[in-house]
Amino acid sequence: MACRHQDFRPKNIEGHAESDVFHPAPGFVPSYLSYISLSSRGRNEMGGVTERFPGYLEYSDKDFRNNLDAPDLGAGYGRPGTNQSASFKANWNARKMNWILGIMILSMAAMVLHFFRSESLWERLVALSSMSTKAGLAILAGGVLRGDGAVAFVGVIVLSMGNAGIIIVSYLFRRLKIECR
Amino acid sequence: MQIIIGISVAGLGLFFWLWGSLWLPSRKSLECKLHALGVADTLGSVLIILGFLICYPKQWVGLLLALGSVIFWGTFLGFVLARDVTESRNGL
Repeated sequence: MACRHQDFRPKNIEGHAESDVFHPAPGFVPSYLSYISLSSRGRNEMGGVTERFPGYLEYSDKDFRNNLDAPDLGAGYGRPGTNQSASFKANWNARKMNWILGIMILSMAAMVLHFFRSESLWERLVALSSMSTKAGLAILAGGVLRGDGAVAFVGVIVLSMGNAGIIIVSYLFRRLKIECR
Repeated sequence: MQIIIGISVAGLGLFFWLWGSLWLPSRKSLECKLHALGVADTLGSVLIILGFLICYPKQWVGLLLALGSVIFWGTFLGFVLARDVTESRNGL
């Protein structure tokens, strides 16, 4: 029976709660947040912890000891004195990644806004060249923070090759003698 | 301590990014905006990559490659864009 004081904390195989930390009830966390957030851990419909990128997180010894079918949440969710370092690190990296990538996407959105607001061709070119650098670095940051070398290498390729096209376009504009307003 | 220093340096770089994009909607000349954007992009990106290097030294290969390309392209692109803008304005 669902009452107000029902215990939603995850239980181990003996039926005891894992921690004294408040666990949100099922439906407490909106499900669309799990699509916006880029962290590797999300919640399913029942309020349980799931892996969004399977194979990325390693299960710790504690998860096998407690017979959990999902890794524990890490920070603040383990009993004091237990070994939660790997899990804590992954969760903290995921939170950091959300903030850093959020600010990066915000400054990229400012460039897109200026592109649509400005009339001048040169101002549009400057805004787009700045956005290209920012996009490459955002890919690099996402790859590094996820610990994924392949994604980071895509960012390196974008950073090293992406600006050459802008230079050719600006050279073309100069040869065509397009005036700037 | 290492993580705190790295995050502070990367946060300074992110602040530079936002500072550079704040100059765009003003009514300054295009050279002024280009200077602010070039400084913000180059310096901010270098600071962000340095912060990641401090935080995650294991990924030094990709980070050093990105650092080199940011330093090269940031300065070169700023110079080429400024030259083209002034020459097309002066009708050279």
